[in-house]
Amino acid sequence: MSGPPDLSVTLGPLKLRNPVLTASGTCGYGEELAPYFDPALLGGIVTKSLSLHPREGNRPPRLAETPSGMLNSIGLQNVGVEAFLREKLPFLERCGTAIIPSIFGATVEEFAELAARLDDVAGIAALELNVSCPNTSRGGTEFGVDPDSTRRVTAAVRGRTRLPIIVKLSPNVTDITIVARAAAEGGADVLSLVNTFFGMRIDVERRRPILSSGSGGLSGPAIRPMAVHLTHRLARAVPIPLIGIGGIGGPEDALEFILAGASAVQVGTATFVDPRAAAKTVAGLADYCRRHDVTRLQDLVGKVHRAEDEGCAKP
Amino acid sequence: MPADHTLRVDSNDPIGASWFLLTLSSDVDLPRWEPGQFTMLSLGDRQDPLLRRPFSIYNLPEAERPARAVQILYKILGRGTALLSRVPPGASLAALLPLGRGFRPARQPGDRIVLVAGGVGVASLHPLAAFEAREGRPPLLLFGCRSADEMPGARATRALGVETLISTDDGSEGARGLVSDLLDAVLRERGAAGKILCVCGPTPMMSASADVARRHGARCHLSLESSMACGFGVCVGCVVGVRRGGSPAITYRRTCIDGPVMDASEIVW
Repeated sequence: MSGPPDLSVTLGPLKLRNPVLTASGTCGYGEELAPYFDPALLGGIVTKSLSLHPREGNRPPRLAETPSGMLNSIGLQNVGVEAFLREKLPFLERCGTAIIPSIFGATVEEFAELAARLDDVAGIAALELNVSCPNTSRGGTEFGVDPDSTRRVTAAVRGRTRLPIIVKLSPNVTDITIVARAAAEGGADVLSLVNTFFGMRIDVERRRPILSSGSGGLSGPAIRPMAVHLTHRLARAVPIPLIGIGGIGGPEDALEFILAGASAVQVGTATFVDPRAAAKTVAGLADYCRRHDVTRLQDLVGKVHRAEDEGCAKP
Repeated sequence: MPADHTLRVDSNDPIGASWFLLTLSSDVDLPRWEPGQFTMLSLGDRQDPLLRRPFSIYNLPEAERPARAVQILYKILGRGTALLSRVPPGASLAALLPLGRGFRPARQPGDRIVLVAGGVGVASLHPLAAFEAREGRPPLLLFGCRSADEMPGARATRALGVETLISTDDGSEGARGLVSDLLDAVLRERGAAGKILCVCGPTPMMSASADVARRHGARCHLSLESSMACGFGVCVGCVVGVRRGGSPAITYRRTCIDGPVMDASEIVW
């Protein structure tokens, strides 16, 4: 094989150097990761979700460890869109990678206003709509579990921005393909999946939930098989590029999602355990391509063999 | 700059009742740290438990040259520390360090540091004691623990020539009762003027000590404990509520980046 493998990826109107992004809520606004690796190694950075106004978030405790995973209930603590533009974006712009603000509104109009505010800002590659946060009492997941709301939010944002729109889907639904189709009808260019699963832990000595909010969002390796399954299912249901998320900590994990049908991936909770997890994933994907004589990583998207093709499952 | 270092376990020895002293070494010079800073220590290559654990760095680098060893004083309190206690010499562990904001008390000439330790909280205060002793102004240590069998945990700090007052829950050593009550008695007898309290221990003990400090008008810095997922600021899970500048509004600050050492007067308990 000649030359390095081509890791670049095209997600509709969004072009990335490679398919590895850091997931919203796990990389701040980029600054805290910069001591550990060069962000230019990444395909992109999806920021902590931004709201129109700063949010203080939920009372602690906000974290609870679970078997091979963790629950969080941060409550979208963030600096607000104006402080983001003033204080955070200048650093991100210098990172040399695609910058994708995640936005969160309590109403359709708030989502639309955020999109409008970010539309003509230089240095932004796309928007990710967080319609699926499980940790807010209003808005958030209420949009993401309802197809009509998801369609309306996406359409409202579509009407106010020329940027590529990524809609981040909740796994806490009966049929993810229904919400996905609604997002596509609303004008989504890309779908990312999945946000965290609802979860709860209880301190049996005190007979109280560990999280101040009762329940929170489950992430980490524990959810990976469920996220791979949903990615595989959705890739066969909608003709729209997907970004896989859920317990990805290295190249093998990323490849599971890519083979299942995701064009790109986001590394989330793994960054907490190893701040270089996303950069190591990029390097590992290149190694995999070399070992398997793959010249273009994108050729592998959705290329998992069906079990029956192997002929071994039949009696 | 913090970085992820692969360290070798030199020793991991029990020192009394469920307390251990872990000594890790590096083949290269480690970045300098200040008293009160911490490390996120991996428990090995495993996914359950998933997260690293935060530990205060117990040793103080020499003044003249960079450290190549990291010590951690810990007590078995849960699954993570139980697993750590079984890591044998020769094993490798990844350690993100140095993290957080340590003790940087603003001081006048003649001010004396008073260390208030609740149990294994002494791990965060020991390097400050070592620093102060090296500067020729040994602090006063108030050490509170469950019973006399935990006294070995304070041995190294006392060996610095630090005046030490003891309280135990069961009265088996020193005064019987809480170390916050001992602090109250000491401030009453000796006065709060010219004293800077530096406190680390379980949250109820720190809250009680902060209350004692407030009543005596003493300056007080706390090394806070919190569950952490990342330790370097991105998860926003380890927050503590603070009030600043007389504002009634509570803002949530990250223990890992804005702390772990914070001004006691700002904390909302």
